[in-house]
Amino acid sequence: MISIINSLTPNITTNQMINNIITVVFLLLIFSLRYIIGGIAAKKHHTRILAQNLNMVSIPLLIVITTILIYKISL
Amino acid sequence: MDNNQNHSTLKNYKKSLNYLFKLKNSRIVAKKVLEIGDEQKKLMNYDKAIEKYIVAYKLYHDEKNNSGEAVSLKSIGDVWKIENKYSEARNYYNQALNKFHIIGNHQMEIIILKLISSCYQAEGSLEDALKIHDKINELKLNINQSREKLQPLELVNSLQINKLRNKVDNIQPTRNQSIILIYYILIILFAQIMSTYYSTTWAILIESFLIISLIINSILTKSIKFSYLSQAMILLPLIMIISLNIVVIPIKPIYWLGIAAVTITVATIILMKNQNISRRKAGLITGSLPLQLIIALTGVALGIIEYNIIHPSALISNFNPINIIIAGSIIIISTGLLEELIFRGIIQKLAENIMGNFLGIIFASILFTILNISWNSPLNIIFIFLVSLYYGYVFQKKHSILGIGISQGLCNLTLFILLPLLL
Repeated sequence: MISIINSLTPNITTNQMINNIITVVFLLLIFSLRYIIGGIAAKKHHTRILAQNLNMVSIPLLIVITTILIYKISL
Repeated sequence: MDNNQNHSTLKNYKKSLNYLFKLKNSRIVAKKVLEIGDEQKKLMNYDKAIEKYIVAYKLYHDEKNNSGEAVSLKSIGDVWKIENKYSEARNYYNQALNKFHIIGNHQMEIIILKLISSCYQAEGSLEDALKIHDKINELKLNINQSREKLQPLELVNSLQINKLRNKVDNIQPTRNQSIILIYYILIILFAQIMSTYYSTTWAILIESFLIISLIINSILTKSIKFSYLSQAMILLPLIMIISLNIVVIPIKPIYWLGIAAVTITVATIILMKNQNISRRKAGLITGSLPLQLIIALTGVALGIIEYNIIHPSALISNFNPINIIIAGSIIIISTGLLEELIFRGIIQKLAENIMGNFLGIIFASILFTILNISWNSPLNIIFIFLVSLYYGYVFQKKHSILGIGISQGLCNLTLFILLPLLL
């Protein structure tokens, strides 16, 4: 009954490298959106909710990508 | 009073304030600043009103005047409430409540509690509003007033409680909400099937699309409670994206759990902060310890049953006490307490606000089961769904994730470490 990870066996394939690249692109997309809405009407109700949601997604993904990068560099 | 009169009153206040600043009497200045805030509120200059209330609060704080601080905080809460920002309003009302409690002003405590209840009702969190009215009942016992004076208050409160109970019994999602939620369940299921049986790359693309859909949905929906649930559901595709990414790190799978737990905890804390979900509301309380211990121990039995269904290999290589302590701690915190906080403390609670208690448990259990389908065993899927219903029911009755969190942790410890190493 483990929900927070999908697989329990180490199995690195080129597919998983592509997954990392897609995640980085997705993260960049979120950062761009965050940057755009940061400048416009941040006090409006809808943009405020959007900013909060984007933070909820971007910060954890940034931690994961940074951790992966640190491992890659250290190897 | 019309707008012109309000403007002239405001001017007079500002003039008097200049004189009062010269007198250097913070208490009088704070009172006048509060009054200016009230005038700005009447003129619907809400940002300026909040500015004034914050200045008044700081002045009272310097004077160590709890009563003034409480009134300022209540006024800030009132403005947020007018602007329909209920979670912010509750935050300030709770701070005001603490201050009124310190000075023993029970009547103001009751007024603030009623305001908090109205915020919860506006957010669709009726169970929480009911709890607030129970608190009001308890507080009334502390008021030194005659029985005759308290009777009308009691009557109004019991009427409110009955009205809320009726509403709670009749909660159901709208047709559109049901369709949208079923759509999300199907997308999450599809993504999970893709990642388990076909292509993790496609799964990540679907999860990214799902996150964007949920974000858009949370912004566009008019229902606050549906917006909150959509925001909470973002955690699920996020969990899946994180889990599909960390597998490239060449470490033992047990440490993947640790990394995933840290990142998902960050996301959960941000969500709780955004929606002003208190630790108590999310079930982060001990409750009755003997009962929680009994609930926790059921995890060992559940682990033995699941082991007989899926026979997994051990997550650590040898039966070393230090390894077991480290792995056990990671498993209990990450798979136990964190998962229960997300699925029961947050998602189930928010789903109950939309679809009622019974469907709320079913909804959270379906999502929990979907995230566990990777074992390729129909019997295990049924088992996980039933266990999830059990955890959901216990949470609904006891309002604590301690017992069920440790239970799930012990279940996984037995399943992935103890039994594979011992047998």
